[in-house]
Amino acid sequence: MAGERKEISSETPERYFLKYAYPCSFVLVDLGKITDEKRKELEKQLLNNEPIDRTELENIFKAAFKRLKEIAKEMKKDYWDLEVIKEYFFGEKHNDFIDKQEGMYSEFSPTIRELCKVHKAEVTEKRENILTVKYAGIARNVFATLVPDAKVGDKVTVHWAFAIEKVA
Amino acid sequence: MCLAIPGKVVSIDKEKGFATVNYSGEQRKASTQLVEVKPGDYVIVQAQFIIQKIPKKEALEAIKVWQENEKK
Repeated sequence: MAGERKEISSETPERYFLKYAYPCSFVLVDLGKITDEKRKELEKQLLNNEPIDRTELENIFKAAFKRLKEIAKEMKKDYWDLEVIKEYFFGEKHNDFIDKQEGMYSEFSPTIRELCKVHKAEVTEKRENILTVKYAGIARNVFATLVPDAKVGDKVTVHWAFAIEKVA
Repeated sequence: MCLAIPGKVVSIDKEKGFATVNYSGEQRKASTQLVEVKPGDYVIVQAQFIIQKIPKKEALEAIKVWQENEKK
């Protein structure tokens, strides 16, 4: 891939990261790690396509960046490289960390750890902002906030109660 | 209310579509739009929505772990 410039996606690494981290921002508010004002600010930046500050994301989602840096090292790339972030969330790395029960995951019960994982799912129903998705034989309702154009039959990734992005 | 702690559904307002969820004495309202629940169910809430039911045994264990951590 060296020397090859691929700019197929208009996605920035900051936006891509925040899409997946967005459900966790609610968790961080509940854990008292960030204020709800800060969460809303991130939400606004994400949903309105506004610039997102890297340093701020790194400070808020410390554990994720610790792991991103490890993966980046393995991949011999910068940890803000979109491919590294995709490998983390979309490749199985993120879920592997959860299965190994690292850090705060060790204190989470099995149901919560499943919510923490990124699942690939199929949309089977849609009503307003809610998608019914199926994965691993279970059906769940999640928010379409981040994929407003998702339709029945689409494959999406799911993190907590949110569909994150459409996937092939 | 903390997502990492399960709450217990104490009552449901079907018309308005929300449940009252109890967290060791503190009561919060959460929408039942995503998940159908009944009183006595243990649930996980995110952004004021019930997002998942959780088995009672697991819920009680999670609450216990949480309370022990609080004391640390």
